[in-house]
Amino acid sequence: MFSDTTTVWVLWPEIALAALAVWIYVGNALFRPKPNTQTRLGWTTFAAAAVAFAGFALYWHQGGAVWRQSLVLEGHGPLAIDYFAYAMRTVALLAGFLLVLQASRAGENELVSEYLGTLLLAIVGVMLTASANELIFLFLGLEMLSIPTYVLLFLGRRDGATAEATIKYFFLSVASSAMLLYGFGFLYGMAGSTSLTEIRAALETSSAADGGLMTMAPLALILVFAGLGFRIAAAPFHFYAPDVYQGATHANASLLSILPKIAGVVVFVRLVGVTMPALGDFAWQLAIVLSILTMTIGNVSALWQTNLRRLMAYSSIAHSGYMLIGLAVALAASPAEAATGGLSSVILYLFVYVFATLGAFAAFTYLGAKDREVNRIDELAGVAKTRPVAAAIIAVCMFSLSGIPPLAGFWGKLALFGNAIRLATNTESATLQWWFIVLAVVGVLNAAVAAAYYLRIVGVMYFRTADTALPSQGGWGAWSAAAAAAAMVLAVGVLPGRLFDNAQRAELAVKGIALPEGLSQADAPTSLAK
Amino acid sequence: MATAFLPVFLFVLAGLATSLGMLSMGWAFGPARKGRVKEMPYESGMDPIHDARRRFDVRFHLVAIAFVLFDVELLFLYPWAVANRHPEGIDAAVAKAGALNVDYSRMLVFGEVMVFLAILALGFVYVWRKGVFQWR
Amino acid sequence: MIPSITDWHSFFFYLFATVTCVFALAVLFATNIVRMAFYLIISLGASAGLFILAGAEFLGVMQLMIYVGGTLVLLVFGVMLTAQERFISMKTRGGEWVMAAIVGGALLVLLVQTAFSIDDWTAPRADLSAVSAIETQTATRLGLGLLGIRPDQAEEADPVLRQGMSGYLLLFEIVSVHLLVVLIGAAYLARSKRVTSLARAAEMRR
Repeated sequence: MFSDTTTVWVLWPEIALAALAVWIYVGNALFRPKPNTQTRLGWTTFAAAAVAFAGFALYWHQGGAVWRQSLVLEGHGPLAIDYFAYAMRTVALLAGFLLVLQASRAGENELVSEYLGTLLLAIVGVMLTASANELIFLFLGLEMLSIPTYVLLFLGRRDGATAEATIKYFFLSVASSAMLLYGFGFLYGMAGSTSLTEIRAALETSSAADGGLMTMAPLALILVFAGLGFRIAAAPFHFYAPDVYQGATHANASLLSILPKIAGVVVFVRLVGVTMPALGDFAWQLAIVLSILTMTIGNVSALWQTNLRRLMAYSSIAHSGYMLIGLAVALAASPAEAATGGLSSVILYLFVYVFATLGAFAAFTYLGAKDREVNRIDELAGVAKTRPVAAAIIAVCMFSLSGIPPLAGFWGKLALFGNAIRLATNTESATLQWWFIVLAVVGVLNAAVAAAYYLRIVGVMYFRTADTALPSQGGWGAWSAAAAAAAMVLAVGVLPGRLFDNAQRAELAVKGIALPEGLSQADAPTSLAK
Repeated sequence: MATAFLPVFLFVLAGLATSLGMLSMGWAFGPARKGRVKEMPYESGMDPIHDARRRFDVRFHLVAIAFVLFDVELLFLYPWAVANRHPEGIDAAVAKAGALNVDYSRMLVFGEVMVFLAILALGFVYVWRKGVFQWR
Repeated sequence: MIPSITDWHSFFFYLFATVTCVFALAVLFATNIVRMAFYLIISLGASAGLFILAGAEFLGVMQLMIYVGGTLVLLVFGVMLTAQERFISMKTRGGEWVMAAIVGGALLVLLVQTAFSIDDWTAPRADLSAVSAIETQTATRLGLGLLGIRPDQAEEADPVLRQGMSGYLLLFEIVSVHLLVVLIGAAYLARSKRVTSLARAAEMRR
């Protein structure tokens, strides 16, 4: 009943990162209200060091035994102390580190402390979302991500397009938060508790009884899907993405396509996948319809885009569609407690998507300059001659996004489609068979369509020549972020086993299943039960 | 069933009735003289020429945002203030903590609220140093 | 004579509900944006009354303080800032009406249908006297929750579980960080506007 130090103990990477972010604001305002290039470098290093410090704090302090077992199902606490949370916080910190590097020369010197501090707080938001086992915590984590995102979008550039993009994103995001909150309200009303553990229990005990409060459950599910669908840019809540990405800078567009996606997928997995298996029958149909719509709209619209960021926006939409396949598999599989591979393929795909997208955007940032960004695809012509490394990085990321075999994206798609087909072949229900075969076929067709526009970018870079070279003044930070992301994509492509293991372990943990012999089983979080 | 707020509601109702009653009485029984001078906003002779709806400076908007911000902050302090003196409030909780041998004191509670305020005060420092409040 | 107290509750419920709905519709059908803001104030104020009637007095107070007191001030300021003829009078076109009616109507049907399919809510309560004691102590409980205590979980015997029942202290502090970010965003907004307005002033002087 009394506040204890457990929360602080578990969340201290987040708390430290938030404190350092606040220090970036205040320290800069106190000592050098008008930063120049020197101070800018200093603050960027400081921010990168802060993220790295939080990462080490997470790893050294909590990478051990504490994080192996799920408390979502047994625990009643506000925190989900499991391997899934640990993995997602790690992904958020890795992506965040690269985002800080990428922004090292984007935007104006004068706004450097605002940009970096706000970016760190957005990362904190994703991490809090990942470790929440409670509706209020979950919501505050999501808001901790969206409020800094509005500020970041506005800080990016000072022109009409940016202002329009920011306002569009702001209003739609606020509306989606309201829908999500409305859904949360129904969940709380049904279960009488904000704890996900208790909501799950309440849904399971009384979903059979008709006429009770559980009648509200589908409504809650629809609202949650709507709110989260906006976060991951899934149809029919995708329409903001192209305009907003186009108006944002490359650095901000990459942030928009990564951080909300991680947070949205995390909440989808924990809130829909794990907490609401009782609604599985209704939920998997919803997920399948949204998935087919989302990937088809994304891929087909991307085909005739000429603006680079619009194309990447549609690509981001399409990848949300792929990830919903895994969610549908997880929801349709029964029993819900078994490890069906649905959630682990989503986790795997998320990782693959995040780093391929980040690498591409960081390379675009590097190729541009502060006042002259790479806007159209045609501008990339001849980059293979002038900037061969950057071109190679973009090519690796594009190949990975389109799912060409030796790269990470292939394994992600393999896991998703493979799981859909496995579900279809293992089930006895004819409806399930039909739907999941259709889903897998549509997915594969979409992947083929997607290859067309990803390869078009590669083709423009390698087989066309241009008269003027791109400025390539995005800075060493963006370059190294791009290189690191591409290296990660390559490494995962060559040696996918570790990632598969970790994704599977995260799925087992989030579902509260004991780990099998092959994976290292560690103790329950005894150190936290004091 | 009575809520503790019944008198408040009745008061609001009575207030509305009074003001509406006064307005409608004036409308019903007052002499209604019409004329160019009578229909001017100020009968005292000042002639308001232009439209009242002019565009205001954006700085007013900043004031409004700051107001809403501190309004929200106050909102979070309100439950603390209520719990402070309530018979089942902080004192009861501290007593219960003592019975359970848990470290919890009024000083701790005060510290928690001060941390909340300090974070916003840091924001205030930032805004001050950046010169946002200079009315230029 | 004054009717029985149960009726007062119902009376105020119907009053507030009617005022909320009527003025919400008035917001929808009004074309003058200043009037819309005023109708919204009334609608939100009446819904604050509904919250208080439901026993959530903190929520009611919050509604009055934040929405009626704060957000609408912001809204009116926004109207004054952008006061130009085409913003003052907002007309909705036919196609927009149809779209809005489809989306809003679908949600309304869904909500109403759900509400009426819950048996407990449609059957009349036999024991009205039993529900008479509505607690109005939500603010105290919320305050304790925000300060790290959950009064409703105090009786939990298992110390491990009790630990998980700790309150919302961390969330309380996180909210403060939220407000900090908003303050910084607002400060930037004001500064960037000043730069542009100064530039415009310099241009005018030339």
